[in-house]
Amino acid sequence: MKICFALIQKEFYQITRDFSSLLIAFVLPLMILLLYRYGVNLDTVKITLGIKNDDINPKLSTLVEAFNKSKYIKTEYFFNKEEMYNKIKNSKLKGGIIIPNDFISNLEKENTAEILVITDGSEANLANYVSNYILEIANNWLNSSDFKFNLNSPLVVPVTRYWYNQDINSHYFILPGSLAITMNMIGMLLTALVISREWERGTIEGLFSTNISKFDFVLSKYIPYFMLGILSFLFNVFICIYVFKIPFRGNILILIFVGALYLFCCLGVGLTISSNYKEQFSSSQMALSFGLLPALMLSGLIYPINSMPKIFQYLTLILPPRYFIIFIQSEFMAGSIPKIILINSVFLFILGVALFLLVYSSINLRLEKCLKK
Amino acid sequence: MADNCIEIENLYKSFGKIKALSDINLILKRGKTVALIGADGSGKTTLLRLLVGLLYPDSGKILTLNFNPSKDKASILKNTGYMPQKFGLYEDLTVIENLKLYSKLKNTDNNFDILLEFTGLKSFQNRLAGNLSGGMKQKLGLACALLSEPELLVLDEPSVGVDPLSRMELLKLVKKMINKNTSVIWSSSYLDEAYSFDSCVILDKGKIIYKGLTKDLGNNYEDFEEKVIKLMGGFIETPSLIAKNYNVAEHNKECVVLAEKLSKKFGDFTAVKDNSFCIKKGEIFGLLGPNGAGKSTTFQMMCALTKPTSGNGYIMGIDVVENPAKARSYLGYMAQKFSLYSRLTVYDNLNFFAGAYGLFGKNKKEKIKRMLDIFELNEYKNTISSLLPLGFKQRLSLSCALIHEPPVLFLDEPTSGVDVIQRKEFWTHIKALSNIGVSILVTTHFMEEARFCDNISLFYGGEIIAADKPSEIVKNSGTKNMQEAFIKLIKKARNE
Repeated sequence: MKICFALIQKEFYQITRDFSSLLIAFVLPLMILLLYRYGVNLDTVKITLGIKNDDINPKLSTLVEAFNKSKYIKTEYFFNKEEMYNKIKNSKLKGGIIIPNDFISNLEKENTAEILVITDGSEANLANYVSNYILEIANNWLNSSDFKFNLNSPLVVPVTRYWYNQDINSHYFILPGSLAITMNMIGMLLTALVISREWERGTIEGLFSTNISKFDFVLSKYIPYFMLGILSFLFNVFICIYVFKIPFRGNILILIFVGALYLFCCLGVGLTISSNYKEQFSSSQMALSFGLLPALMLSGLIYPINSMPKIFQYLTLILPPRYFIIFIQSEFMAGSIPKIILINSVFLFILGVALFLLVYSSINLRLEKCLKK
Repeated sequence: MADNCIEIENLYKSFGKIKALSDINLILKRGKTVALIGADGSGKTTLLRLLVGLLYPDSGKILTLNFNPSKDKASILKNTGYMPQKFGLYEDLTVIENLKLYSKLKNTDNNFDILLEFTGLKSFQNRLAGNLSGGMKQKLGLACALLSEPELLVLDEPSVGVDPLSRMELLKLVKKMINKNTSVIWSSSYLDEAYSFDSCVILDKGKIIYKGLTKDLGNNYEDFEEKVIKLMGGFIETPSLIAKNYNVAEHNKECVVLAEKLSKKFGDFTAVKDNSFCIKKGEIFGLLGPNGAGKSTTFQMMCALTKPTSGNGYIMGIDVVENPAKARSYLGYMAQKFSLYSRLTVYDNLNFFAGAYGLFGKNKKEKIKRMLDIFELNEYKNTISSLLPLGFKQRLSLSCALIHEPPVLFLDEPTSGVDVIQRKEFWTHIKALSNIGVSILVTTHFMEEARFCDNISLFYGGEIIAADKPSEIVKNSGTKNMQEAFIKLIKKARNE
């Protein structure tokens, strides 16, 4: 135990003297959070819409007015079709509508009136927004206009309520979720380098020629970075709750507990990488490709796991972020739900222990691997 | 207690296809000092690592202090002090933190004061190990190895890249710190060090070619050296092919390389002070001095890699501060250690450097071919350079530095860690280059190489303390050879 303590002390000296560990633990997550807060937005956005009105009937003015009033739309009027098309081609407009000159007369004749909606199909998501906005505004207008009697009243009217996130503000689930990715990166980057660094600098030879045991060595790599990681985690949670004002409905102790389990997994992945590569460069490459990419793509944060191909769905089962993201999103938005906490903690714990065993078995206190050329 | 400290029978070890050691049989008695001699890659490090259990043998039997290193590594390490080649120090920890760490790892409560006193590190104990000079790092490494008052001391090339004075001090220190029951195994490529040990083991290409008393090989150092060279296959001086194939641009510059009062300060610290010298056409000029004396800084200023605080340097009359690119085009530079692209082939390396020096087309192809011919590299043209035998790696480094046929060549400790024979061979090329008019600036820690220089400038604390022909320096200092002269002059400068 004395040996382990001496090694841990050594790691702390190195952490405090090497500015890059602190950079990874505190500055990097802050930058990622800022990116997710201000850079990533899955919500409805304000669009610019071109309008060409060919119908001079004064009854139409209220419809044009309605487009103008919408807080999601900025309108621009055109008298020339080509001019509007050009602006759409140059992406100056996200869409355009053309109201034909028989619009009102059609309505008055109780016929179906048509408007032409042009959207930019190369941005499919946005195109959807545009056509939905227009449809909704047009329907609303119709409901309050003189032509209301033309409508058949629908049989079913859905009344939507968004639970947990009334404003459907995507930051409320993206930011807590991004914590999982941040912690994943930190946990791996911090530890991916620590064993390779000893190989690279030749200090491992000195270490292995002393009385240290494998257990001492492995623990001395886990404990300091675990502590640093937890500090970093608390720092991130603090920023989310108090600076970005993300509502937190769960229990902070449970959050820390499951966060610790998750960190345990991440450190395990980092150390597994580190103990198998003798160069810091390859280790950090591996950490980025195994740490960041799967966490981003396969964890369910951005793309729902259910819509992935089956094989990828199975693959996500061994990704720690998957479990943590489910947990942290529900902990933030819905409060503590025993079943979710329990299931995800158990999986994280199993993964963490498995990774610990993997690290333990891939370290041997000899230099055998290093001389491979 | 058995009186053998090491017993090895039929030991084999290979890494992949490379046979590192084969058929090693060796018995070393307790209480003796043993030198392990051999070139880089001859298997010295592998043998030492096997002895302390850092590697497993492929086959054969090893007993270190009567324990089997494969099974009982802990029992061996309890009574062994092992100092790895890079000293195993944590450069971001201070001297005292390194000592404390290692004493806890080795479970000893040794009093550091005595060790710090003996090694002269007491006043530096709060300095980061990374900021120590080579000589001091070496002493700290030794102190860490000595912490547990070991029965067996294993030192892996402790003196590579260290100046003669520090080497001598280290050797004295080791002999002072051990008692008559301590066994020492010390690997080295310096024959003068080896000569001062009780017995020696010579390794060549993974095989033992000599084991026995040092004195049996010769009654004085010269005889010893000659015998060792003979054992290692002998050295027949063949004329270098450089003279025939190398074209130096004609010029009539008085000073091909000229330094005028070069000074460099890092904050308050003066690394180099008022250094002036002039290297004539075809002259070999040696910069000697202990580690940290300012040799490398001078080198860097002359290569236009760092800017002098004051003073100036000229290569072929070109100002290195104002026109570094032009000045460098007259310069071939061979850095310490093997600084080529180890994953490229010999040809690719030459091709790259030729391109980097601005050669192209037919001219480039011709020059590459010429270098392959001069250094007899044709056979290895398509070999990955990391797999080359050491001597050929060195030839390749030199040929890359010479590919653009520069009139000036800078060599920074070119022979560090290289065995006697390869060193001699290397110098035949250097001498040939000087004969055809290339001016050469060289640093070295091998004093016997210093005598090949036409002029020497001896450095201490950033200042020149002696500059003359080697023979004059030896004569004026009243000593027998360059090594003694060096030690005497540096000691004198240190006391002043």
